[in-house]
Amino acid sequence: MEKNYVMGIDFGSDSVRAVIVDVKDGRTVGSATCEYERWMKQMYCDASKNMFRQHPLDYLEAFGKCVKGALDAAGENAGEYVRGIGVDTTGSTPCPVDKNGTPLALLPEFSENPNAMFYLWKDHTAIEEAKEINKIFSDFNGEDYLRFQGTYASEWWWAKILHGSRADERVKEAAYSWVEHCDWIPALLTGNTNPDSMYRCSCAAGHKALWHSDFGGLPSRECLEKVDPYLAMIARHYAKAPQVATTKVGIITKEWAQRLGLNENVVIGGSSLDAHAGAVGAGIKPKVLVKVIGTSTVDMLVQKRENLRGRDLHDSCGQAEDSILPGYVGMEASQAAFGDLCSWFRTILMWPVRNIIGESDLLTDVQKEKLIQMTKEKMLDRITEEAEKIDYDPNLTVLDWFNGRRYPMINETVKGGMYGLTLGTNAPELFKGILFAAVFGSRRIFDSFVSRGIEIDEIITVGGISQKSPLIMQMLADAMKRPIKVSNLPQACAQGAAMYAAVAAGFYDDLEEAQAYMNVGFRKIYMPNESNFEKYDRLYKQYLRVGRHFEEIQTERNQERM
Amino acid sequence: MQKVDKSIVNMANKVNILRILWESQCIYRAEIARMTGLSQPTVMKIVDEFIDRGLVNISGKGVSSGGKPPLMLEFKWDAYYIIGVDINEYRIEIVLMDLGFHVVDTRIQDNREIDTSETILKRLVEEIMFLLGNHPDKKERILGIGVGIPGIVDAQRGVVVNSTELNWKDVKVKEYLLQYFEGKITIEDSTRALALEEKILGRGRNVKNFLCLSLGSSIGSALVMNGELCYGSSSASGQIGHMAVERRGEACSCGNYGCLDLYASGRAIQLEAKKIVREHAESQITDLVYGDPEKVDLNIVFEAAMGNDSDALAILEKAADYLAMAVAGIINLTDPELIICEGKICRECDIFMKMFKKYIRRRRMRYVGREVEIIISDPKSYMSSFGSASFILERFIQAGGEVKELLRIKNTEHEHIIYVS
Repeated sequence: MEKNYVMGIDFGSDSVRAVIVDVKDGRTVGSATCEYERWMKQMYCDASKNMFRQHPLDYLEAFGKCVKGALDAAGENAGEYVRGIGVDTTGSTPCPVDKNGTPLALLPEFSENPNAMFYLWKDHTAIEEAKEINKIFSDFNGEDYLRFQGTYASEWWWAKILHGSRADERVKEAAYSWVEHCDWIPALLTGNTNPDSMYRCSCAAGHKALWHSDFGGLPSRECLEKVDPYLAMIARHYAKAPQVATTKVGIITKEWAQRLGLNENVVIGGSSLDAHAGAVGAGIKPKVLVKVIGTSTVDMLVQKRENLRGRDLHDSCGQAEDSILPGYVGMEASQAAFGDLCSWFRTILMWPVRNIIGESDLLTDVQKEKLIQMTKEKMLDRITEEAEKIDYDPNLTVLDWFNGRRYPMINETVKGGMYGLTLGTNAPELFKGILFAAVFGSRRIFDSFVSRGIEIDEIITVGGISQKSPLIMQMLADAMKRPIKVSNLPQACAQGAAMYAAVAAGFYDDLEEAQAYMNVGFRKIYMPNESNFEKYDRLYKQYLRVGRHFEEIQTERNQERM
Repeated sequence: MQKVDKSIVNMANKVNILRILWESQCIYRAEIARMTGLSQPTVMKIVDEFIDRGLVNISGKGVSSGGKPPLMLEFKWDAYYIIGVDINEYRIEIVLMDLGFHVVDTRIQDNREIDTSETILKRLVEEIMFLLGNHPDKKERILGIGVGIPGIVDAQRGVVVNSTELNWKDVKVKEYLLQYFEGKITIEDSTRALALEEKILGRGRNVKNFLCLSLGSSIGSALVMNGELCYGSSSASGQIGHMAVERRGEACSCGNYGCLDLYASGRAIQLEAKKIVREHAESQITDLVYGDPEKVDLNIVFEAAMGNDSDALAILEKAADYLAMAVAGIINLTDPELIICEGKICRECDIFMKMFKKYIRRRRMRYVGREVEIIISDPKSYMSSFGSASFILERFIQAGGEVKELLRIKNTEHEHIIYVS
């Protein structure tokens, strides 16, 4: 039987991953990962200024290598069987381009200029610009352009463009338009990078550039002009309308087919943002919450537009049309710190290890290094073991707002905190308290959806923590009172991107069908333990109460400062 | 004299047959004759007229039980189109649909906080223009625009006399729309529109007497008695929200005091909850908004109730009890079979609906054998604008399918401006 493969390409923050899967069952036949060379040397970045830029060559080189690696792993002549390519990238990760759609940093005169490169999602250089944008977008001639996304973040498209144009006159002059990383790759592979007509991805357009059919597209020209005429100019050089991730953007160019070792009939599908592709790979559908748990979380849902009528969700999530699953409104909430809370705890406990053991002369340098390393590696597993045994109620309440609160009711000024420490509180109890904080932060997001009439029957989790910590997963199931399925996918994002390609190449009619065939199942299902409900409800109430008091304290502090 | 009578009878027959055709997917002439009690030739003559006018198709041959197989008749849904509009405090919904209420296209626009009646109506016109611009092939075959707005609506003049939900007073909606369009435009109370929709398409299809309740930021109702929508003498019937339920209650904007709206509406629930937060009371409601009373909305109360908060539950309980008090009165007065609920509260808060049913049961009159069934209208199969569109459809059927005027855009200049943007 003839083999049919599709390829999913996941451009992450540090590396790109290519996965080749069999169209008929979603089984991985080959994969590879390649780091961005310049990025790993921290070139074009300045963490002290929150500046994080990536060179387009980093993407191109790593991409080329990675595709070849995956093809090698997929067996002989694998390149002959690849029928489609789908892509996901980080976002908002925009880059200035010239009239041909070439990233400025690929031109000799800009090759070392960070302002001419891709502004990685976590680049926070545009905080001031975001403030300006918020002021004007929130009320312009009776329109509130922030209705669907809430407060405009400095990480997003318009803020970064505005910052780039103000920070660098030469870039401003040379840039005919700007493109998102996820727009550029499919455009490049199909040979149409003309900014006026190229593929633009609906996920990025909706969530980051604020495209919405209610507005008839992007925010109005007049509104953008009021912020800065430059933004209105960029909007004029934006394709007519964004397209969904399952779009058949075109056929791979001969040049690229040759360069990557692929046949010349490969269909290039659309693209999406990485978390969205992950949700698709993991099996998102209406009434299923997909939660990507890492340092922070992304919580995603899809619903038909008509079912969201009259629901006030702007405090609970960002919404965009044709995002995540084409034909649906994609909803995205997030918790600002999750895994980061555990890392913080470990860092605190590592202080004496690094500083006392590290400086002692009882051990040799090699021994010290080994001991420190071992402590770091084993600490969380070991303390989790102890925390698991705690079945009494330590009555300790921890707030998870170490990195502010994102949803619901965004407040970036609030801080984490603890109440209920006693002289008897020990390390495992404190750790468990922190886990409760993470879990209750998730429950608040969940409850705010449910109480606003968004039904959720089950939860699928993706990401390292969900595979590593049964304790946290069981606590989540008990707190949210729903079964939690842990995705079996090591690479949910790339799998989702491969599903886009399978639809674009015509193997399936839509993503729902692709998901049905290409889903590789679940590693484990955590069933909620009813006997814990009462205790969790009580602890959750305490969490809310302590949270309110801490927020009131912060509000007072904010007022004093003003 | 006799001639006039004949044409009236003829018209009644037409209406009757047209309705049967509309209600059945597929039917043959003999069946119509059997259902109406008319002779086959009469049916044939009328049906032929409908076929000539392009309202009915012959869709093929049925199964014969011996002899010539009968011809199957089918309503031609795409003979004409209707624009249905529903406005509530959250959004405008505009649906272009065919005569069978199959959705061709929709436009939904959320309301902004800064909106006034003027900006909403302006947006409505823009959106209708946009919809028409997207469907040039259907633009010339639109029967009219049916608009539904919650509140006291003077349907005759097309004026929203008072809508607490939208905070509109004496808004001349029809007059506004007639600046831009020519043709049939109906303005109706949205609860009444819901009742008509349920009567034609929904759970009220074969129910003679039923009550529709809309439970949003204010409370509306509409009655179908003996198969007919009730309007009352000044088309203000159905103002259950302004039924007094407290002898020495607070004054209401309507002129009465102690009105149900002040105790059981979404607005009343929200106000009670805000009070709790403002007083810094130890309640989960306060915690959920992190102490900020401005953040209190109905959903926060629902969220607290979900978390078993005693204050939230008490607020809902009280509202449900007041509502049951008024509705039990209506039940005793009109003896409906069915109550169909709609609106944010019933849709998003099961807890409230359970309480409401409990209090209705408590107040049930023991002399009546049957218990009233209380259901929630199904939002998935029907859009709210279907209700408003039903009024246009009804007029079409009542006219025996004769169309004298179609919808036209008045000011081409205006049309042009909007298409371009």
